[in-house]
Amino acid sequence: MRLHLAVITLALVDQSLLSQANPDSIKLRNDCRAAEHVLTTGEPGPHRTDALSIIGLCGREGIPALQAAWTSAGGDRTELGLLVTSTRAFVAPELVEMLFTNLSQPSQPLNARVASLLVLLTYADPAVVPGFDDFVGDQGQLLARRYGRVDHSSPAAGREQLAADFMQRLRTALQAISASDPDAGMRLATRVALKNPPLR
Amino acid sequence: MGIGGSVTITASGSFLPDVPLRASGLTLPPNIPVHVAVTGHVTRKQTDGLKFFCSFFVDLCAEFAFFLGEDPVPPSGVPTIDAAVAFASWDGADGRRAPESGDILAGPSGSELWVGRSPYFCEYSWFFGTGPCFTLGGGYVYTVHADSGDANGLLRATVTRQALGPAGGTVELEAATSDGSTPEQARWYFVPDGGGVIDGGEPPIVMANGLQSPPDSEPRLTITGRASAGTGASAAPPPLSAPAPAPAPAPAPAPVARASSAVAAASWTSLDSCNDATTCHATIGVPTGTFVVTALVHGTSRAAERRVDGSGGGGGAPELQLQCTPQEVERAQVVTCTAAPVRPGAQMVITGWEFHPDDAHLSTIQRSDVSADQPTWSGKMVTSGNVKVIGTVDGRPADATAHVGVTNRAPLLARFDPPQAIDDPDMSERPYQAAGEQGMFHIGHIHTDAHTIQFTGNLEVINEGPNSALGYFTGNPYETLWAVHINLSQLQPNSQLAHLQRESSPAFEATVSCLRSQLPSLVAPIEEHEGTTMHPKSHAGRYAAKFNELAGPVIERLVVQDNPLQAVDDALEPVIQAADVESAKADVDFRPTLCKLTLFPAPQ
Repeated sequence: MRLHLAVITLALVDQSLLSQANPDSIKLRNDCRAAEHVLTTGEPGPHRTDALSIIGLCGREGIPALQAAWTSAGGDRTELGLLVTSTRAFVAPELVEMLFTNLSQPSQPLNARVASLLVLLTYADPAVVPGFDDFVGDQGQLLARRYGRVDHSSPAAGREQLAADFMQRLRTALQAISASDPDAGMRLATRVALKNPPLR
Repeated sequence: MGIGGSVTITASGSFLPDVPLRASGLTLPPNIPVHVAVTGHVTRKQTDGLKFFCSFFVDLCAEFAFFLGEDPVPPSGVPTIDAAVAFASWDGADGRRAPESGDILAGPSGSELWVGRSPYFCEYSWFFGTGPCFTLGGGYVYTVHADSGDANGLLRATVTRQALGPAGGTVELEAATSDGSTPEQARWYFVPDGGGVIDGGEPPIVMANGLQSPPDSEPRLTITGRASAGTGASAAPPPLSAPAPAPAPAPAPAPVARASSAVAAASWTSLDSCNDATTCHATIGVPTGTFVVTALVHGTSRAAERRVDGSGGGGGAPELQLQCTPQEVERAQVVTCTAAPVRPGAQMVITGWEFHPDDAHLSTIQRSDVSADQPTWSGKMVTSGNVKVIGTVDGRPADATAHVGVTNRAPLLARFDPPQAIDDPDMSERPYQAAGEQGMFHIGHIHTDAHTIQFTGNLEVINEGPNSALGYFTGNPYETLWAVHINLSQLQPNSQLAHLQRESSPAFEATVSCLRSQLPSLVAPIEEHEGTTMHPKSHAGRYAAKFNELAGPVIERLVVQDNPLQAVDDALEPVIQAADVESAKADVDFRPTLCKLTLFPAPQ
């Protein structure tokens, strides 16, 4: 009996030492708790930018806060840009569903729908990392532009398994929008996406 | 004209009966890589009766405007309903319907082309009587063309010499590829013209039945014999289901369609003595037909066709001669072709000119300007092919053909200015280390192949001569939009990333970790690795060199007939892939020499 207790005590000490040996992980966890709080409650407001830049590194625990941030996002490109970068860092089925919903929702601002498109394209191919300027602007110029791929893929800090038909689903959704969406800007954005990697 | 001529299903009268799938008489060697196209259209002219009907029932006609307009019907059929749809197959297999664009069949050929067309019928009926909506015309033309391959290795067949008259003669041919590779295991065939015309117009007896139909009490429109709408049910759209195309396994003619008027199966010949040779000398006993060569190009089976026509000469001797000078020019130089009678003093009347490109991807060019009856045809040449003049000499039909060769200019190179390094929000404020990744993306990367296609100043369209309406390039339309993104805000001594690094070096360390103060010094080697100095081993340097090596010749010889953006995209796609592969080598032998950077941990 005494021998068992000694082994358990040793194991606990060992876990504690490991945590202390990785202070960056502890700091990240604390930062993530704060970011989740800011993004889900909206308070304190001034920390929203910091929260957006870190929430993508918070793993599965950060998903509700990411969803909340997308729900409350308006059409501001700067904020959406942070949200896009953060969301690209974590690939999860719940986020995919939310992004497809945003993408196909005509009541959303154009920039928010394009932001969803930016993330979904990177989910489909991490070497495809386009920006807003690749999708919003003059039609003649956009249709003659190709955003291509980057040399070093955008790594997902965490990636969960997506449905096997993800790429086909994305293509189908974009074809439907390009054919009949009421927003001409969104029709153009999806036409651009269909002419570029990874869908071309 | 395609291999073995063409097959036409005509349209005429006030309705089109079903033309069940049937043998067309167009036979060719099996297993040749080909594509089958259906062109032409069924024309629709509103009858006076329909116009009168619609002057009363304006709303009804407006509702069905998309059925009652005079837009020509393409081979894919009347929109929304399956009517007047062209079908094709090989050797009696199930028919494939014509798509809205592209080929109806593609792949290895069968022995005989089978063709068919579904019915089409539109009738109005009201208290003043019954009548057809349209007078129909036109028809669908089926042609088989060799699949010569993609732009990286087109197989081409050219006639180097010919002596052909109405009784046949001799032809010398040569097979070559567009990229200079050698065609292997060549097989040569001659396919005389078969096919013909299938009368798919209105049979007289059915029209009589139609006239005997008693008029309805309600105004009514009937389309394809199934869909109907009257004033009492004007909200009901015509049904989307349509009469089945009824592909028939047997070639028996349908009882409602008149028999083919000229379906004579001519048999093809294998020119075995030319096997494995890239040139072929053949003697044929007919004046017209198509030579076909198949060969392996880069291990893939390809085919090329070359049509010959010696029917223009009278009494075995040519009546008309055609000379094009120079016979060979560098791309975009002017050629003048001049027709003249062979016998001095004979009266020559020119009725038309044609250009048949060697490149099977391009369509025949007809001279359509008001001076098509002139004895000369002159203009810039950008693609090789046969110029043909058609006319009469002393009242007898005559034609003559001359080949014009086009050689390549110097490659057209794209301009690559060194990419500028900027910070960009596509990188995280907390560069993180993902499992299995090099962690480079959020430190620095290059959008290597971002570009735009600029036609202004680079694309010229020819406005006269045998290559009229063809576009060619005077400059490379690829304009790079590449950009190097460096996480400049984080490569600073006081950034969040800097606080992950040590402030000073420990006494002993196996690997040299970065110090906070060192972060700004990482910018220069990362920029050089990405290519802001265009170092030949950098991403940018390698990409630009490989791109111009491959794209320079491709763009120089690219000739476009329609949709130039698509043509450029298709031509550059393999070039960009190869340049990307070359660029990636910078990560193998030109990695920046950096201290060990500690990145933010990835989530567990």
